Amino acid sequence: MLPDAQPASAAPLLEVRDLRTHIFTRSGVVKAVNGVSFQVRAGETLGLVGESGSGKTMTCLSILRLLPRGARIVSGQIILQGRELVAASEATVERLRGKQIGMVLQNALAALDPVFTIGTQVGEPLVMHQKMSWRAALRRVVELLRMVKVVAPEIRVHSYPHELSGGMRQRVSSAAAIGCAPALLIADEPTTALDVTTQRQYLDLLMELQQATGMAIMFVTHDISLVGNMCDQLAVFYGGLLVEYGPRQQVLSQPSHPYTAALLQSIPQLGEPRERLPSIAGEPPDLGRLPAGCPFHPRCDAALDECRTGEPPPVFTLAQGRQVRCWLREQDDDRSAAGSP
Amino acid sequence: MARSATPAPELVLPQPVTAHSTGLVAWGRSVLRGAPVFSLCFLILAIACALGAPLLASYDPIETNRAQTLLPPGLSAHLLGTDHLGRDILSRLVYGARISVTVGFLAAFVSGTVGTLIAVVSGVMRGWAETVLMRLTDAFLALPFLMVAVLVVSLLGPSLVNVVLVIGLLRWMTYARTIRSEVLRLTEMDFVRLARAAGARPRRIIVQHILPNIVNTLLVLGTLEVGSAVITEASLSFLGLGVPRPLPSWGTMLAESQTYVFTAWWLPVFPGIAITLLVMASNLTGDWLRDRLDPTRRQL
Amino acid sequence: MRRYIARRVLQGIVTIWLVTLGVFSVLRLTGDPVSYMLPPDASKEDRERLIALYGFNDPLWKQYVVFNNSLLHGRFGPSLRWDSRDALEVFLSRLPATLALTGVAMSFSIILGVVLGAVAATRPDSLFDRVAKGAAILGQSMPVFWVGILLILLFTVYLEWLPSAGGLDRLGLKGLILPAFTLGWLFVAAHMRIVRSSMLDVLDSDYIKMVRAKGMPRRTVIWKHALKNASIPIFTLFAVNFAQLISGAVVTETIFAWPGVGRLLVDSIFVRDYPVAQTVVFFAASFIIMINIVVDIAYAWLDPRVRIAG
Repeated sequence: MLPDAQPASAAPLLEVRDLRTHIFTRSGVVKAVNGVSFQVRAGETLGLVGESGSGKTMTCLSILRLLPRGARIVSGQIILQGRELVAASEATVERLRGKQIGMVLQNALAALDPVFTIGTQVGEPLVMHQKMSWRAALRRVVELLRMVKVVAPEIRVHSYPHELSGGMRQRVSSAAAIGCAPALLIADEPTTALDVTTQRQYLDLLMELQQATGMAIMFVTHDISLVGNMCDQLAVFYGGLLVEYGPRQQVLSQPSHPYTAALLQSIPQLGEPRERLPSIAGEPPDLGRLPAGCPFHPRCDAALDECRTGEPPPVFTLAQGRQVRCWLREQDDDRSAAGSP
Repeated sequence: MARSATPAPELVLPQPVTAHSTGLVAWGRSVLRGAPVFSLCFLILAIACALGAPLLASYDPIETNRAQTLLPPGLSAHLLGTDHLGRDILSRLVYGARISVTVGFLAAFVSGTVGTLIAVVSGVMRGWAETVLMRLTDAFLALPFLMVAVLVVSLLGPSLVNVVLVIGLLRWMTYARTIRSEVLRLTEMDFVRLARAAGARPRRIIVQHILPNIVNTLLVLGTLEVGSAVITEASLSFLGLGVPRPLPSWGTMLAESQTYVFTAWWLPVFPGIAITLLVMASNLTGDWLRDRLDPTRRQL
Repeated sequence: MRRYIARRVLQGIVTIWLVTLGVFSVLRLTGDPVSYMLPPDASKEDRERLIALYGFNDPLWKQYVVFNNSLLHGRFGPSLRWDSRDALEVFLSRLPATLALTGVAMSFSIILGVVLGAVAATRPDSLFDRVAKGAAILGQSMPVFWVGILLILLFTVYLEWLPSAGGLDRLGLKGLILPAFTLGWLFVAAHMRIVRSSMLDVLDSDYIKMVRAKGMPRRTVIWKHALKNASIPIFTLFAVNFAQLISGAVVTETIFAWPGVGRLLVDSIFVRDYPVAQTVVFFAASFIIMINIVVDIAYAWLDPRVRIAG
């Protein structure tokens, strides 16, 4: 199942360019995704980090075109394996879902259809995309369940979702997502509903699966402490914007955006005595009523005047392919003009 | 480009809530937000007819007039025509409103009272009382309602009071079930627990804590039940087992229209419209009340 | 699953017993049953005969024992009108007509209601949806008998397409159309509203999002996954609706002169044939209880989560 090794200069598996997704409600427009650009290379793991409502989930849903009622991609491009998706037809996107891109959601009980068995649900995409017979599909389902470490898979195939534990359901969900060996797996807060031990087990499983299949992973989480060993690249979201993007090691050790720095500071360290947990002052912005300028400025200690007015800062490209949206870094910009259109 | 002073594009901001009207108008506006205007007006109209029938109707609804039978509706003396005994349809409709409204509200009241009683007792007392009452509720729910009503009214004799009683005593189950789950939910809540911990006796808990919280549900259910009571009364009268003959119940009017359906279309049409409108008005008002009083409920 | 079935059946039996108690009391405790059952000009001998036949002079508990005994043996008493026939026999002879009527009405209302509701849910706020919602409210507000009369007015009087009175034997299937439609119309509206509302919730759910994320085509998403989940409320309300169906059958049969048990009830009441009336009510109630049980069991089969909760 390993794809051919990709040379570093090959085209990325997924490229998102200046994506803007807005939600049109009766009380106004919510700019859920307000100009996000990033890339995912084959076999790589991209971590999407940010508070709830920062745009990371809506970005993922935009890629799969599974937006809720009232939400629409208003501009931007999504290019998967050379194919542009935003302008593509629903039928084209349907063919990609489950086959090229798989998705795992946060709440696995809510993500599994309560009236069908596990076997049916994991086997469905196999029958659909790979034209298997149901009998062959069910055999494959047992294999998949074994791969995600579900005990006694031959029995579980006939179980219903409510008969399984939370951790097992999450694993079953994952089996359904990777059934057709997609090139990209989008995992949207897959561990949030799990307890700490199960979390660890699941993350290990994810890494194993990635080793075995060579798929790329987009790992969405609000907990920056989880991205530790898993992710190759990090994308930090705030207020519908991608405020920092770059290789994980460097972003974590030398954050270039004040928000990233603040996030890292607020992680409690075991063993170090502290009187109070530092947290970021203020509250996340209401995406329907964004402040002018940079969305983070009300909570930023280092905010300049230009941060408070006008458009949000554009993307500045730093050394080694890192990107940041912050006026404080303007001088470090490698290129003369702003990076994104 | 980055540092220019171009202002951010205009966001579509939500409209601010009007806070400037004062007094009665403001209160009225907030109470009636989203109200189904036509339904409320029709309900008021129906109640007005019920209360002031002699004032609103031009003719006597019972007196027959051999000379004017089966006149079609028109802009003449009889706006909606006359029936086979020469009685003015419009006046009969107005007097019929009196019957429908009375039965509707009284029956809803009776069943509401019985249902609440049963719900509160079973919800607060629990134990065997609850089991017995719930089995009783199931048994009553299994009854083919109209059939039993027909049977009982025939035994007791057709009269307005009997109709109200029968409908009231056969329709309390909806109240009982819904209110019981409300009561159960309330008794689990902390403020009731606190009262119990403070030693309050069951009766005090019921009166002070539970009843005020179920008033909303009662109001919604009651409004909805008025509609179904009206239809039941009309059905009973239609079968000849509702209010006694000369009284102009809309159901009776429909029954009488059957023989003349081939020649006088206005006989069945208008009473039917009246019934439908009253039921619709009560349903829509009930739905609106439900949305207003408990926004967490889903609308069906 | 089997324990659930056993439990439900037991509950049903208890409920039926309560109903028989009700049927028993209704007749004997509402005044003088003998005068109800006889025409005013009945002779003294007739009264004595009736009293002896039913044991009305015996103490109440004895009457109850006798009553239960007769019921268990399937003896519902002789019909007072059709002298030579047993009430049970009269009832059974008219039952098929009602079964045909209610069966057709309910089936068509479920199918139509589900389809309309599903389509409306997939096109929320469209013209179709708004018309459907309006028609549903109207349908639930119109009394059944008025619908029937209007249909007669339209199809029999003006258009002269369909007959308005008779039964299956005389008119065949053509005679079934108007009564079935009249009876079913109310339920089309009710079912449509339920399915529409339920579908809207289901379509917004996470698991439907996941099914789409797996790449299932729209028709599979809607007609396989969403519909199965959305139909569950129909079953919960089916049992309640069934009782309404029977009530509706009474008036529908009266209007269309349909020879079923609903009309039998009304007729027998007017001629004071109480054994027959009693029989009808008893069987109707028992049937409703049975339907309740069947529906609960089907519901448990459909939605596996219920089996545990019971």
